[in-house]
Amino acid sequence: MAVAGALVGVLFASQHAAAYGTTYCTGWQPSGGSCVGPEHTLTANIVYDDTGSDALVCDIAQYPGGGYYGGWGCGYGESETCYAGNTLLKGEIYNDSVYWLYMNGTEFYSQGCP
Amino acid sequence: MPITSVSSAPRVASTAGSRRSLALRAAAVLAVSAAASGAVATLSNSSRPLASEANASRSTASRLAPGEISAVPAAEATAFAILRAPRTAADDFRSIRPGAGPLGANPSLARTALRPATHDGLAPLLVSVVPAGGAVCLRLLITSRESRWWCAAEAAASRGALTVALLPAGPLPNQRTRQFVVGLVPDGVRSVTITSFGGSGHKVPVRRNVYATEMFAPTAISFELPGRGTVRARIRD
Repeated sequence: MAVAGALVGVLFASQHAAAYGTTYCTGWQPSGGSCVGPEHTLTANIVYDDTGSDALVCDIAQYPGGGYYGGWGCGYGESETCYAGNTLLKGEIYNDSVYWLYMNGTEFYSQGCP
Repeated sequence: MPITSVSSAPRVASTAGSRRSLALRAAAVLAVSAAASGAVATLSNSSRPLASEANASRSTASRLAPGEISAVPAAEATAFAILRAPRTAADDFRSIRPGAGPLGANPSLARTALRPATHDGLAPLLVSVVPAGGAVCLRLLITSRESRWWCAAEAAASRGALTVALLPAGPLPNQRTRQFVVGLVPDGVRSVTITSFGGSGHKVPVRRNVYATEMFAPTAISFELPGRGTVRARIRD
């Protein structure tokens, strides 16, 4: 199961590598695990469960100096937040399932996000 | 690690998620107009738009972002009355940054499901249902500078599988806290019952295919799906 999940995760990671943006924190996260991405003037932050199991995952953004920009958003398989692109922020992802998940975050900092 | 290349064409997969929006948005920035027009035409053909929307979509076709759908897919209109309802000015929303939404979701096809009178607690300013290519999305306007999107494949959304939660800021999304829960259910579902951590059930009415409530530590949801019996799902693991 874990091997299959890893393979799926690698496949999804490869798909991301063919797009425009910045992926971060690609890898296995334990239940309750979180990871923070790099600093950008974010227009979007997206968290993915790359295992394809549509497990519950969450995203939020932090200010570079600490503190949170808004609250958490949690959804099954993915969660996405759009920002105005005028504030330096760091994306953060969180595994809200009871399982280890192969997951990643993606930050955008120049593209449309309605 | 910056990623610089572009996927050649939008993909529509069977699972929920906006990962496919990466390619769509990348195309919006980098693809040549001819390729974009082709992609739009392909999606338009496969989405089988409602006749009532076809005329309107023709007038807006030239303004479509690459990959953006041009009309509500018939399967989505069949499952969700809110997407069959005529659009009005009240359905419009101002984009945080103009462009296509996840999976080609088109903001100009959105329908407003909920506009809370007050912005207390975690409640968003606006909840919209936005059709996408092979998927349906919920878009929540949190502030004038922040929106959130969640999408589910048509089949999953038709089973009421699109449920999301907003939680307060903090180091962790603490499960035992107040949360704003919102979800999309198909026609025929009049209410859902959301169970909290303590085991008590909270009946939430469905309006325009959407339910929404703020409550403490929601753990599970159940509802009667016409023709399929009782659907039960965990909200939080």
